[in-house]
Amino acid sequence: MSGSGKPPSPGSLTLDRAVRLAHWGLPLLALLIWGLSLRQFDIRAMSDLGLISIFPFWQVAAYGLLILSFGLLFLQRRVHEAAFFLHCLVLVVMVHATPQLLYGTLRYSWAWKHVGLVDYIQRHGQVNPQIHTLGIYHNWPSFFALNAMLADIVRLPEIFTLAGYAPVFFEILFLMALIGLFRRFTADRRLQWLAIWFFLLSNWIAQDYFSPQAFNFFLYLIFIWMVLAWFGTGRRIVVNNWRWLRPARPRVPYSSSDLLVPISSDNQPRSRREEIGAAVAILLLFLTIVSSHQLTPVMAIAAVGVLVGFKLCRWRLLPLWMALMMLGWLFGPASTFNTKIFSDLFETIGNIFNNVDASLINVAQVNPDQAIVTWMGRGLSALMVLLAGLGFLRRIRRGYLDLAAMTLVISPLMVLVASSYGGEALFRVYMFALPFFAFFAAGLVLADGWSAGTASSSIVITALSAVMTVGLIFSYYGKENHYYFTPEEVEAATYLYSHAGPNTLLVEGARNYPSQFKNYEYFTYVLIDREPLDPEEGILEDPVGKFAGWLANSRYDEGYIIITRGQKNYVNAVGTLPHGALERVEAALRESELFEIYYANRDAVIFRLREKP
Amino acid sequence: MKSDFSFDPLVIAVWGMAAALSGLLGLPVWYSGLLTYSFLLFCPGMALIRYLPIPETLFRVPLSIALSLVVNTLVALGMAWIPVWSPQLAFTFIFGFSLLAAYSYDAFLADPDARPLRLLRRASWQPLQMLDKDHPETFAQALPIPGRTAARSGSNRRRSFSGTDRLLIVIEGLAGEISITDLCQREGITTRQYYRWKRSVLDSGLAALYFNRRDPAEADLLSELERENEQLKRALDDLRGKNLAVYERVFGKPDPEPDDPAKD
Repeated sequence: MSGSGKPPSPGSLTLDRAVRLAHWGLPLLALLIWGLSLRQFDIRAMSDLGLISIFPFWQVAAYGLLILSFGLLFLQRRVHEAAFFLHCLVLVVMVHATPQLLYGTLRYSWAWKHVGLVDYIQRHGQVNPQIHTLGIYHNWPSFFALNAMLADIVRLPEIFTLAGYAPVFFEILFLMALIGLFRRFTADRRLQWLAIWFFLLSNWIAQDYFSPQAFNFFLYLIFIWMVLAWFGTGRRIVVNNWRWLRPARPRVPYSSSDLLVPISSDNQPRSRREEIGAAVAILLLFLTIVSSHQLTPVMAIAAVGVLVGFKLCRWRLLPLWMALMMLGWLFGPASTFNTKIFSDLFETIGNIFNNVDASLINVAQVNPDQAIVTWMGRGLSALMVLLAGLGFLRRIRRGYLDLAAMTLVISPLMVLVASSYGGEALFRVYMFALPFFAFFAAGLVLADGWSAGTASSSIVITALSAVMTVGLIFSYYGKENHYYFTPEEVEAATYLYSHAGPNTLLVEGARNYPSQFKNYEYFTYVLIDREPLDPEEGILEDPVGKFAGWLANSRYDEGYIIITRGQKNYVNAVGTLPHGALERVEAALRESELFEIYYANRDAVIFRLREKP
Repeated sequence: MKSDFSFDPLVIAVWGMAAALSGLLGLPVWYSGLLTYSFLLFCPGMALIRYLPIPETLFRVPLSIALSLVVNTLVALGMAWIPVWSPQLAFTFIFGFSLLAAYSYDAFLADPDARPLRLLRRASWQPLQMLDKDHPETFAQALPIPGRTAARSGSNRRRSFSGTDRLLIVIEGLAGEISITDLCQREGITTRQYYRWKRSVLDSGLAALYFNRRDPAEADLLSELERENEQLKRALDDLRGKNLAVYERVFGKPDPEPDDPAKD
């Protein structure tokens, strides 16, 4: 408390005004510097380190200024919450709008594939659960149906630009959802904003592109908020009873024992009608999740199950209803896929080490630049886990046992026991646990509630933010060299997908190019980098003979081979083919008499047989 | 539950009509797209959110978006599965559903006495607050006090409070973990009411200490009785004075009382 009673001098008033102006001015200045320095990027000069290899000085300065400005907020006695919001918003724009503004084309081949699903529904007006290619998306089609409907209502000529800004859109949604969610855990507003800031700085997994998982992650956060706010018990545990975790000193002023910060009961339903409304909203939200993604319902059931187990949710039958809905979907609309899913599950269940190992890239296989990127991602994740662990213990020592946040960290881990999820389980576990890791990590720095805000905490926050930003820029932008597609690649792919007819064989160097975004069901796809590479198969030894045989197959009406810059960058960086293999294949095809160039530009070439038998 | 009147049906109607007209008039996709997307992103959820327990002001936006996405997704999913793919029909359905949901609430469930101005007065326009180290209430909300009856918020406000409730509200305010404004808003009382209760509690501290082993409601009652007693005493003195003045005017100054014969 101030309590000096002295009127402030005019000098201090001016300083106070200047500091307050800085709260708003510095992030906007950082945004301006960032925007102006976008022109200094030379995309063509990007190496396998990704965007960091071409980062101009002024970009670094913009990030530095923003971090410094955010750290300064914790030095001030008086600071408006909107200043925290502005900093987070600027960070989202700076990190996630950069690729789209630089490239002008949709990045990441999976995003193109998702556009292809939207295109399918727009053309056919329905889904086809029996379809062979990308059938899994037809069995969980909600996200694609939604976007097809929105695009048709608005009569959008194309959704690539909209899809390109999906990361910005989804990250802002995550940010807004987390504001509500963290208010379930603590009343300390600075702690909430620091947790959000740490979340944004450590979310390198990049599952925020135009995808069902980004859509569902937002719904998951809202779902957890609904359960905690409307059906939370606000259960408290007296930490004082645990001798080994006896609080250092009580922080809660008027409690007779050292209680945790409560989950506020302000949002609880006040009448039977409101309670029914809340229950229906929760179930409908879960139905949307169930119908649009395979993993998120499992995560949500695990989360609610653990909350019920710890008596933090008073709707004890909710996990049962959720499980029934999920099984209903699996054995109903998605029945085509349940056999495959259950067989995968039985193969991987209980094999945690294999499930973890399947998620990790083989660093020995990738090139040195990509190895650095991989280690940066791992380092950032490890840092967050470490900070969260220490923060959890520190908050307990201060008298706060964040039971709900703790259970929500634990619950995603169950997926590791169940499945490798196509080699992505570990990343998804990290993503779903990350908001709560971030909360505990923030708790490490601001464990003292309102006594925080000292110079030391400000310095620690700035330093941690700087370290995290470096980790984020390396790991999030580290694969941009093969996520980025040039306009020439897009032109070539558009030409191919627009002109080829149904029943076409398409041989691709790798999937990493603008693929499957139009008329995708016309094609049968063969990926060179996923074919067996034994010498007797002869793909790399005699590509001309091998591919001529494939394309001459009478089962297909047409046949093409496409090799692009993005494919070459990908296989050389990740090592799915020997270094330079695609370049050699392309050279052999160009020299061959059997093949002719169907379309070519600076970054892509499409071959077909000169004469089809 | 009763709630205040709102502009939601009007907003939804205008927004939806503007979106529909922008498409019909063939405005550039950028304008019509923005209008239509924003309508579909906010309005269905805005209509539905009124049927649910009221969240914090700031959280209404993401919750509205989430509920809108749910409505849109289920409509799109239905069209793709049936299959009857008609985006115009879908838009008309979502527009009608949003309007009907918002209007139904106002027609059947909202408080008929409520007026827009009351809504404006009651709404919290500060979802983001000034954080001030000198006022720690912005750093922590109140802990629910064991044994306390459930706190009320938003539209569900109590008309009367027991003595125990008043005392606990005052204690919560004194604890300093929640701002008085927020506390009063949550409990549906005015700040003046709060400070009156606080003064009562503090003024009757001695009585509260004396009765501290009893029901707090009794201490509260005692303090009110004492205050009432004081007021009555003052009123009696006042009346006595007036009575004397009237007597003097009518009968003149009363004679001095005869000396006590015993003194002689």
